[in-house]
Amino acid sequence: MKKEMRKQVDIGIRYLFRVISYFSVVALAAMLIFIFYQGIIPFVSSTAPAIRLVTEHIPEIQVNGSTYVNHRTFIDVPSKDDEIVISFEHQGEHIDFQLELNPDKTNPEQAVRFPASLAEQVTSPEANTYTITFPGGLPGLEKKIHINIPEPPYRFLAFLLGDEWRPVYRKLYGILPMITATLLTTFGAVLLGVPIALLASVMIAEFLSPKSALFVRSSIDLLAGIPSVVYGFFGLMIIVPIIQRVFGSASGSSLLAAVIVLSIMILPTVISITITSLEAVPESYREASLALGATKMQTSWRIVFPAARSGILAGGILGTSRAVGETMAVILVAGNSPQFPSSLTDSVRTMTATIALEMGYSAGRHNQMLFSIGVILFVIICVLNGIIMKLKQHMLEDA
Amino acid sequence: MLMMGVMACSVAAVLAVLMFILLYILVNGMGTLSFRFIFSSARDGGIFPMVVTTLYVVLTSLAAALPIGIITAVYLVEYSRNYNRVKYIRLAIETLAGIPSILYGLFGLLIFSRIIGFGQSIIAGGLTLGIMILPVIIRTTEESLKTIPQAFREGSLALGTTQWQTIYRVVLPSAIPGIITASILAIGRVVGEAAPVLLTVGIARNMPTSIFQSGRTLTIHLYYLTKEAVNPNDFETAFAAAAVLVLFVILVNAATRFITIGFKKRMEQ
Repeated sequence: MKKEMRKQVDIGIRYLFRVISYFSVVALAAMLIFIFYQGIIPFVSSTAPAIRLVTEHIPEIQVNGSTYVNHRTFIDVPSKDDEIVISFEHQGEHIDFQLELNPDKTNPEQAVRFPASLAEQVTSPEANTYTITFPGGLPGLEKKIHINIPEPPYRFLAFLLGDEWRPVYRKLYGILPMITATLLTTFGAVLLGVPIALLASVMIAEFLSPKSALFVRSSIDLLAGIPSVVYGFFGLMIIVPIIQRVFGSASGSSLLAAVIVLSIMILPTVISITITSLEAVPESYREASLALGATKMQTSWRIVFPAARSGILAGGILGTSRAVGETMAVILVAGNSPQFPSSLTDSVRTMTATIALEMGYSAGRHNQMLFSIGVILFVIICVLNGIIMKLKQHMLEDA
Repeated sequence: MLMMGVMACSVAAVLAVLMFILLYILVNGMGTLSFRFIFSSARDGGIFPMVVTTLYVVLTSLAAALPIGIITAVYLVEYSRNYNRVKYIRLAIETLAGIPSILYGLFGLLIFSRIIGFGQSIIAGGLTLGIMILPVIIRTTEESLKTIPQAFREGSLALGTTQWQTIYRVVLPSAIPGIITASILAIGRVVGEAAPVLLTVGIARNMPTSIFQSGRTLTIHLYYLTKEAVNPNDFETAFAAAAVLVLFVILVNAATRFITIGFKKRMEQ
């Protein structure tokens, strides 16, 4: 009886463990679904269903026949209407006017036509927003009507290939400068860091005595553990001033500084994977090569290194994906202007930096666009991950 | 010979960079670093609220990730050695390990802060980082489970125990050093992480009284001091905060090494 119960418990626990084990799958799926969902919104829907009015210091206002008293939130104008009739009291006078709405909703600049009598009072503080100011009253307390025109769905190509990122005033969300910056910093870091890492790895794996190899490897583990903010801090205190002095630029925060910091940061990743794959090469390869009269150096670079190429390539790509995803260190040293760099000492801003810098104050479509950048980042990382997994399979087949 | 020189120089360069970073930060930070610095509030130029916030974030993330991580590792090693059956779990773990931390930040902000409604708080950050450290915990625990000799399990099962009894009484106790190593590695990651913390925990400088409040971890404090330094004092504080982080990393490394060596010795006996 007791044994029977124990068996039941055993099966139950096994089942429970199995269910819990799928948590990683669920978490990954949720990440993909939610970030994609949030990131796709700006490209499929407009920011608001209809034109919205916001009044300032107007106690009572009539819009298309309805009266709003001390209205604090926005007033929606149904999208089927083709004009807005507004009337309210201003300094004892009755003010009446009509705004003509253009049914062509695709171009927000043309969506509202203002009467000629108001021409001088209308300003456009930011794209898709018009403000009508009525003079009189205390400065700062003038009666104002803001008209917010909904932004139509953003074109995906204008996002991916647009060259201006002016999210607040001009509602332009082009991320090509950021993609360029990410590609340049990553490419530079790989170009600078990977050769050093490969040379060091072969030295550690093939030439150093086990004792000194252990020492060097523990040091590299330490390098891997240093937080990215500390790297950024170090870069800002040491590398940025040096660049400022050497190149005579106004601020040393630049593409070059980001490249140098990132190249240091990817060293441990590339080195440790390269060493692992060099060690996985069978000893018989080395013995055969040495027996044929090759020197140790020839054996290492012509026999062992090519034999470990899948793993080495995987290490390089893992380093690349680290560089693409790095955020805080880059923010501290890159200068963060969303522009195309024309030289190594220009300030740049990567995709990750944009997300981290603007998430705090963004709202509405701007906020969703940051998730869209996350989607692009996700796609890049998934491609790199896919390549790494393929290479690992190769490694297993080779062995 | 030339090649040898170039290779030796590369190794020397890597070591020199490490030494330079460590010494630069420790030497500059040691002047300000003191017990008073660690245990006084931000207004008095200290970092105590940040230390406490970091501790809370570490505890929440471990509380979320350790049970799930250990159970997953046990399932993968003990119950299911058949690769094809757990293909998706392994694929998910591999992928999660490669995702940059800022994307975890976006996910945590969306799920824990907005949808569940924790807002910017320690618990939102802790849960986010909990998912982030899951691959580390699973892999490290798995490695230590794999080093336990098969004879242990067979011996136990031969005595008539069920599989769960074998796991609970024989396998898990032998894997404790591995689980501790996994936790220490995870703690190291959580303490050093900044981007997802910035998005989910926030930047409030005051002392958190519960995990449902916003706070500022050490890394974010260092980030803000560096980025928005107004007076030279801020840089001194930044150096000291960086020194605390670096010392912590050294401590974590030493601890994992110590445990791994001890574990190996015990296994050899």
